[in-house]
Amino acid sequence: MVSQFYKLLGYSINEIPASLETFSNLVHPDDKEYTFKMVQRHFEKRVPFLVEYRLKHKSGKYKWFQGSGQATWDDDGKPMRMVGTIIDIDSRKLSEEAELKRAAELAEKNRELEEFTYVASHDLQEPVRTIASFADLFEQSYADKLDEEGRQYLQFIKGASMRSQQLIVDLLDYSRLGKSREMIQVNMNETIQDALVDLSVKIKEAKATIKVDDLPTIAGNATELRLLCQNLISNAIKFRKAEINPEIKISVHQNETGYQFSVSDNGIGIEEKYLDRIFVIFKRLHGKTEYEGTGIGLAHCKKIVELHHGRIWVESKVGVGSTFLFVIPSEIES
Amino acid sequence: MKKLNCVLLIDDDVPTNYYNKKVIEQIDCAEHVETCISAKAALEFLKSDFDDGAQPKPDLIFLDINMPGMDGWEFLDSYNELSDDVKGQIVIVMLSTSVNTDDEGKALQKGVEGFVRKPLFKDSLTRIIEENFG
Repeated sequence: MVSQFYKLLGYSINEIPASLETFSNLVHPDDKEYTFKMVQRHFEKRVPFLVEYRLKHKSGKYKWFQGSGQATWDDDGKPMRMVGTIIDIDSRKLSEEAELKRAAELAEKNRELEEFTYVASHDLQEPVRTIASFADLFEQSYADKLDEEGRQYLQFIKGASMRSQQLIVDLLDYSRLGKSREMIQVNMNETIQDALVDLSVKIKEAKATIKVDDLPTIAGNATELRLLCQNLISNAIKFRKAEINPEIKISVHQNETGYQFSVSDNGIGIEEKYLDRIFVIFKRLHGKTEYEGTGIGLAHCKKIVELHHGRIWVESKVGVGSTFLFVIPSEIES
Repeated sequence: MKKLNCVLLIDDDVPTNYYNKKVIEQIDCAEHVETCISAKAALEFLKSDFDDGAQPKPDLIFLDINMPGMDGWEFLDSYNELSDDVKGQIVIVMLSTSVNTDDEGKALQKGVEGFVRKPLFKDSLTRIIEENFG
């Protein structure tokens, strides 16, 4: 054991004395206090000793080790001697550290990207608004002086500037999602009822029936969860079949990780090859003339679910209907 | 410059098709301009019967990449599966907002003759026709 200890640190046996003092000199200053506290705890309370610490290698560099030990006590309860093992965990520790560093860098990059999206889309608003305003003014003042083709051009300019404005608003909303978040206990029954109230005109027009299971109360952001439910129900109504009334079912079941919610419809369904693509921002499956919208809704849903550390996906059959499923874990780390 | 029989424009954006048609008319390089607002509609159009001469078969296609549902790439995959007599001697040029050079390489691999950034200008249109039909 002692020879192993020296070998791990690059020393030959008897090069340095085998003593607690040697150990104390070799252990990293930042790890010393904790390690000796744990030894003391083991001596006094006889709890298992298992500590990770850095020791100075002969080369001068510190390496990570995991030490465990077991003392023996005399009849008076005084520790007599201690035997233990030491394992080289340097490569594991280094990859853990690298992993943490990468995660921190990624979080920073994401923050920068969100900031960029926000600033860029914010500054785009003004020139686009100018185009829209002057197209309107131009139409009011000169439309009667234009021929058919001229008026057509003007309509294209107006349509495109309106669409740009909508895309920018959507992008801003998307980048704002997740800022200043308050996590509370959210009663999902109330969330769905609020969403249904907002959608009441659409529901009535489409003659949609909506069945809702008794839903749980979960930890989350109330505004985001409401937007999530509203988007999913709104989509279920929007992509309905022309020949039958939409029937939507909202259910939940609890599993080991959390609650799995589902929103099922009897709508037009989605081709299998597009099942992933639909969650990408501004990706649409249908032409602007068939279904309105910029293609932001499901991107919002995905971001909201991911802000809750959950997952969203869809199962669908063309001509039969779609079921959107999302899981919200019961333990959310803030 | 040779005058083409028919140019097919595939883009989900109606004003874009209108604009491109206008540019083609301005340099008077085609007898007919056909427009499709989806890749699916374009595939159906290409599969239609051109033999009776009721409608002209396209010589040149301008294809958008980013379209709802079937996009430009999927169109090319489906197009490449068509029989040779359907495809004929059609020249396909990608017309896209994309500034991604990877897209350009990908397009060439899929048998596309050119890659042009929107908007379509008279100069680039003239060059495309001279290079492919001159």
